[in-house]
Amino acid sequence: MNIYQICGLALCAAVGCMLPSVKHSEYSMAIRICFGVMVFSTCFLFLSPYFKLIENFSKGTLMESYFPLLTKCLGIAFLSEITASVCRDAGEESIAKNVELIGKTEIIILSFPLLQKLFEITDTLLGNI
Amino acid sequence: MKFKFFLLFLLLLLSSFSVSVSAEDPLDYDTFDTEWEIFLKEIPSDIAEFLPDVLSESLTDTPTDRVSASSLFRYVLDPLLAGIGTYGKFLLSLVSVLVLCALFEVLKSSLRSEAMHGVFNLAGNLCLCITVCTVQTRILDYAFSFFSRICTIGNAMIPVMTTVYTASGNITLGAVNSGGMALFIALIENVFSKILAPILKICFCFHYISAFTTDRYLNGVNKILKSVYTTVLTTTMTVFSLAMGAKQLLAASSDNFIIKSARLALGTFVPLVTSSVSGSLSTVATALSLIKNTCGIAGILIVVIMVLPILTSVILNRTVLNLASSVASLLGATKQERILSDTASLCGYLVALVACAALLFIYLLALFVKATLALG
Repeated sequence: MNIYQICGLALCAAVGCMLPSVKHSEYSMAIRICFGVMVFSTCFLFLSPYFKLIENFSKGTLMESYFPLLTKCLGIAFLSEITASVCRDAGEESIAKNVELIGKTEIIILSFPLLQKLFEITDTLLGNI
Repeated sequence: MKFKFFLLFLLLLLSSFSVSVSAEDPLDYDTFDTEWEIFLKEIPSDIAEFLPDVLSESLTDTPTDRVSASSLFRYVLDPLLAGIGTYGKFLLSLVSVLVLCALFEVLKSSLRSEAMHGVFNLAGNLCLCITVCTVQTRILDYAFSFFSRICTIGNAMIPVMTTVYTASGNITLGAVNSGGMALFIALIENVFSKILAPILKICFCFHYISAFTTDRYLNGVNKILKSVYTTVLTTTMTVFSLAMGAKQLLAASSDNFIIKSARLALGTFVPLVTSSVSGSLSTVATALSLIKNTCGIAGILIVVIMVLPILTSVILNRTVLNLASSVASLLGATKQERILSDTASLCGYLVALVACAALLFIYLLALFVKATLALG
């Protein structure tokens, strides 16, 4: 799927939501959610070759072990952010906040080994003073 | 009046570092051979393997130029190429983190949550800090092991020098020289390992902590530590260079074009102590020419093998950090740029320390070589 198809789909979704028979029904929300999910997956499809490129770029370097972790954090951040915005569109502010909270917690949990590693390095550095 | 005060102060200073000097019975050549063997054992194996012929020669042999200029180039180019490969990988790993951080920074405007951005920045900064910190820890260890190696070699030189002076009949000179040199090595070893190294390590740790906080207090502490470091390093080097000049062991040569060019290069690569290091450049040149005239190219080779790998490493490390900082600036990752540029500035302090240690080694070697001339 390229940008022209996405734009065409966006226009169709917008027109579909504005149709009198759909505007105030549950179909309007379904169209929005479907379009949001589609854009999100397309975004990741677009970016995945570049992630591969950066991954190859960092192979054999110090970042090789941290790269999957960082991309996972990036994925979690985007997923929770887009889910939260869809929930907000649906008028579910509290669910959106919970999703964000879970996303942040997940990223912090993933970052803990990194924090531990940093403490270890600092400890080694200061250990023999 | 001021001059008198200065003289009085100098006398007081010298008296605080006084050593007890006593005459000894002249040693025979068997003792000399033992001291020489002990000295050879102290030479690190990685250097000794490069110089098998030189080390097997006895001191009474005439110095030979067995090491050709082409091999000298090889010893210069090898560590340089190895360093470029290692630090090229380091640069790649930094750039890959920066690209990911910049990607998130670009998409930040389309995302509503600031908190999510903050959390991802935390993960990105942690990755960046670990990558930078791992390399810096290695470099610091390398630099400090280089320094302790210099002190070990220096300490091993003392008995040989004393024996040489004693054998040539200069008993008093031998005793004074060995006492003075032992004092200087002990003093500089203490200053480097007990003051400068801990300060630098603490500065690095504070810097990594301040990367995750906005506390201005840490920056203030870091500034104080840096100024203490600069003062101690500059004073040590000035005193050392003054002592060398006062002893008139290494008379300064004329300020030629090469010295001027080297001074310019030092101003670019070695921060903080540029004035005290470049001021003693002519003395270094004299020391190097003395080493070359006495030991031939092999003497210069020892200096190159000892000094070049560590100097190349610290300078390349700093260059890579500066490059990565520029990349971060281009990508719009401001926080990461600050981390990298601050680390690069701290590496400048390490470059200064290594440059001073290299000078110290050249001086020590020149003094050692000068002592062997007493036999002739």
